[in-house]
Amino acid sequence: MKNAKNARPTQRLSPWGLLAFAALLLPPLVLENNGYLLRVATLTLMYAGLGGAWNLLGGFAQQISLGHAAFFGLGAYTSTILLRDLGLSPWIGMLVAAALAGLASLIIGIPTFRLRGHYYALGTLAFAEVLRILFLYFRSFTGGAIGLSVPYMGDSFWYFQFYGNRPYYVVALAMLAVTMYLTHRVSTGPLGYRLRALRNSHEAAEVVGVDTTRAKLQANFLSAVLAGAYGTFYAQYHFFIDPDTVFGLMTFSVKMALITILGGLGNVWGPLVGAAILVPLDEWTNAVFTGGLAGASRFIYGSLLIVLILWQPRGLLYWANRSLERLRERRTGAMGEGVRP
Amino acid sequence: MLRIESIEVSYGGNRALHGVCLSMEPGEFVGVIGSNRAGKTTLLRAISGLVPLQKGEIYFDGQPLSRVPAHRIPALGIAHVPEGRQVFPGLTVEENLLLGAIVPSAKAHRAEGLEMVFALFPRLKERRTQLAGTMSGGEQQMLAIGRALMLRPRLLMLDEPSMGLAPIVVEHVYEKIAEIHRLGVGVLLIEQNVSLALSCIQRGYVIETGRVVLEGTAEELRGNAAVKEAYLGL
Amino acid sequence: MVEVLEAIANGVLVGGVYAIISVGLTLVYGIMDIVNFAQADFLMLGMFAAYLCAQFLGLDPVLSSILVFPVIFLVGALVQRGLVQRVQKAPIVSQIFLTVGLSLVLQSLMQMIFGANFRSVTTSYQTKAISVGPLNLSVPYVLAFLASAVMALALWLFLERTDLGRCMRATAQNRVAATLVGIDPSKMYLVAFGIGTALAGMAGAVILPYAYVFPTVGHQYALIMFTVVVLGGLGNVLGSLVGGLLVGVIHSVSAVFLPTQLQNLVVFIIFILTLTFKPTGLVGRRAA
Ligand SMILES: Nc1ncnc2c1ncn2[C@@H]1O[C@H](COP(=O)(O)OP(=O)(O)OP(=O)(O)O)[C@@H](O)[C@H]1O
Ligand SMILES: [Mg+2]
Repeated sequence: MKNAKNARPTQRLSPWGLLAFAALLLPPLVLENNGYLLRVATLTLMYAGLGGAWNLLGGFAQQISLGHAAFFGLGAYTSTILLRDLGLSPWIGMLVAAALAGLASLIIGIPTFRLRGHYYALGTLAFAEVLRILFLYFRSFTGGAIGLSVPYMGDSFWYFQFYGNRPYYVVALAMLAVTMYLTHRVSTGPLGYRLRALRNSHEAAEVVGVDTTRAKLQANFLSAVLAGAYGTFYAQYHFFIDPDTVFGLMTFSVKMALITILGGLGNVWGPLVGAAILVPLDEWTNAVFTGGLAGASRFIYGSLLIVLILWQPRGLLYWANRSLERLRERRTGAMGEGVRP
Repeated sequence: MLRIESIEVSYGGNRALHGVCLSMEPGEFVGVIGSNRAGKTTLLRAISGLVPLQKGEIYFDGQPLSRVPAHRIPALGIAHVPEGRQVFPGLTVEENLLLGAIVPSAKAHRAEGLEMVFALFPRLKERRTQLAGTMSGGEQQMLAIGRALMLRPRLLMLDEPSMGLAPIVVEHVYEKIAEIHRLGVGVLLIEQNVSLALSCIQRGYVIETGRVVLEGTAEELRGNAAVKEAYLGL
Repeated sequence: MVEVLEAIANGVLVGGVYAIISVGLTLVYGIMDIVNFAQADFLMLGMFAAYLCAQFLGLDPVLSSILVFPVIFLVGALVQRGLVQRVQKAPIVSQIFLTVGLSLVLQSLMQMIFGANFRSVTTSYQTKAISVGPLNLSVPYVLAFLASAVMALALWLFLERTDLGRCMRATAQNRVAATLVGIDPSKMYLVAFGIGTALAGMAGAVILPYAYVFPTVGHQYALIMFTVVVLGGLGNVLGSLVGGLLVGVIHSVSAVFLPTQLQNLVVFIIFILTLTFKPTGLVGRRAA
């Protein structure tokens, strides 16, 4: 407990972090507006944000949700249906989507908040699956398995539709900034402390006065709100959604988690690092392995997950930090020896 | 038979044993006494290989044990009746006993072992088809001892067999332990109830916060002023 | 009325299979405290193995299930030693995502070898049915159920009557005490994982006469398995056998009253309700 408190970083944003984030403004300036690369970069930001959302509960508290696609999918369908039926701007739709996803997180929270460990993972998995089935079934409303195309409104800011990738990139970057700032605040604030306390043991956390249920509901609410908003972004960017994709286990629920684990669980920068590696890799393997080798990209994806878990379960950032520290130690150690008589 | 040479054991950063030495001859009845958290349980766990040694070595018949994995210790003839009995609650009494003789050397004599245990604890015979978890504490203690005997051990280690039992049951259990010792089995007994322990052991060690502070025959310990004051309340 | 009776009978028939494919999950969880999210993919491997036996050796899938058992056992045992064992003491997040990764690897591997298309075998009894009173029961389903019943009986005998089975139950109930009588827990993990996956594979073989095989066929069964084991109480072998029959019947009867697309919905809602109100299972608590 004492350690967790000591390790708590300051609320202040680090200038290096801000600088690193500012570097993300470069790609739209140097990459072609209609090019593939900027598209990959945009997707990278989106997935980094999704990972950040998952990180709130999955990373800080290590309550493993395998059903975050539920919030994402709900968001995607909410704004799209509002646009289709009421002509409502997806910007407003995004707010409604986020609100609905947040509400859903509370509803899901009631039956699942008592569950721990593997049980929690199973429960959340089932919820996403229930939504997938419902959206597949109510065809007249959702388009069923055929999916739903986002009504085309031309290049219009009001309707969140643009010709090139640049505006989308900027939106994704802004959303990521919000997500990372939020996770930073949570991480350094009292909620982060509570989540980390319950990570090791709910009982121990309760003993020191943490309302674990409330902490989990709060974190999951924030997480769901963000995931819902990203659902809208995805729909507007992709122009097409279907239940098997947006509510999918492997497509989104696992991917959010993998991105976060790859970068570093419970680390604000983890999802960005993870996405920067995984999303381009995913795009590349999907492009290279087609036809008879269509399984290869999923094979790489799965193998990567296994290798990561066995080799660096705490993620690349942790590993990089450790390696740096060791290097520094060795250097100062060597110097110290030299100085001594 | 058993020789423990200045072993050190830690849990995380906390050292529980600081260089404990102990030795025991075949067929001897040795006690280890000490108050709460002195490290008595840890000592038995170290012998059974459940916790690694940081320093020192344990020899059984001259063989060093520090590299022997825990599940291979019983085959050497060392049986451990753990603190809190730890029977298999969902298995019947008979199944619990059969598992006590699961190592090949004991398996060959399983039927005789069962007979011996049932002769010693007729109660277990009556209850042979009952689930162990549904028995009383005293019965579970007898079962745990019976399960250990199924191994036909040369060294029987008992961790506070009196814990949580009514005085009359404790007396009964201790009679049985004395009987087992008379059969020629070496017994290493852990006990917090010092007067009880001193009434049956031949030799004893007193440990405090992970160190042996005193050793001697039961007679000597009974006469020791410090023991009298600290443990016997005289 | 007959329709409902027939649905119940069919539910029992498929439920027997559900019981067998799920029991491995419970066996592994009971002993290792790990949920194998790739369990359904071992069913898929078993289906492919039986498919190959039918193609190249002309063996009937129900018969070849006897061959499938040792093959999948070996695969499962290798996976346990090479991968799962390494996360035995790791945080839950590692345990979950290791098996999720394994699931992806197994599916994609088979997709690269066999392609994504649906395959099936032809048997002489494929379209045959037998009449029991007013009920018409399809022969492949009856055979799959009978084979599952034999497997359940064999498993029960193994766990209750053999020393190895007793050692496994003892390890599930108290790992430390098991070590103290000389049982090697890591050997039990190996056997549990091997048997658990091999039973799923064997069940995959016996359903081949009425089911298509393709690399992602496991998806159809994964949540059903989880429901079965949670209903029965994760870690409770008998519970998961009962849970299998229960889920089979619910699944089948709900198809009479609801559109087929919503069949699974009923199962999942029961799953969630069980998790909410009785996470230890309806059938009973796991001993220890
Ligand atoms: N699993 C464990 N993890 C961490 N520390 C432990 C563990 N088991 C014991 N300890 C510590 O090691 C020390 C010795 O404990 P041990 O259980 O060996 O004492 P004991 O003499 O058997 O006590 P008691 O009479 O209460 O049974 C204690 O300080 C205890 O807190
Ligand atoms: Mg003790």
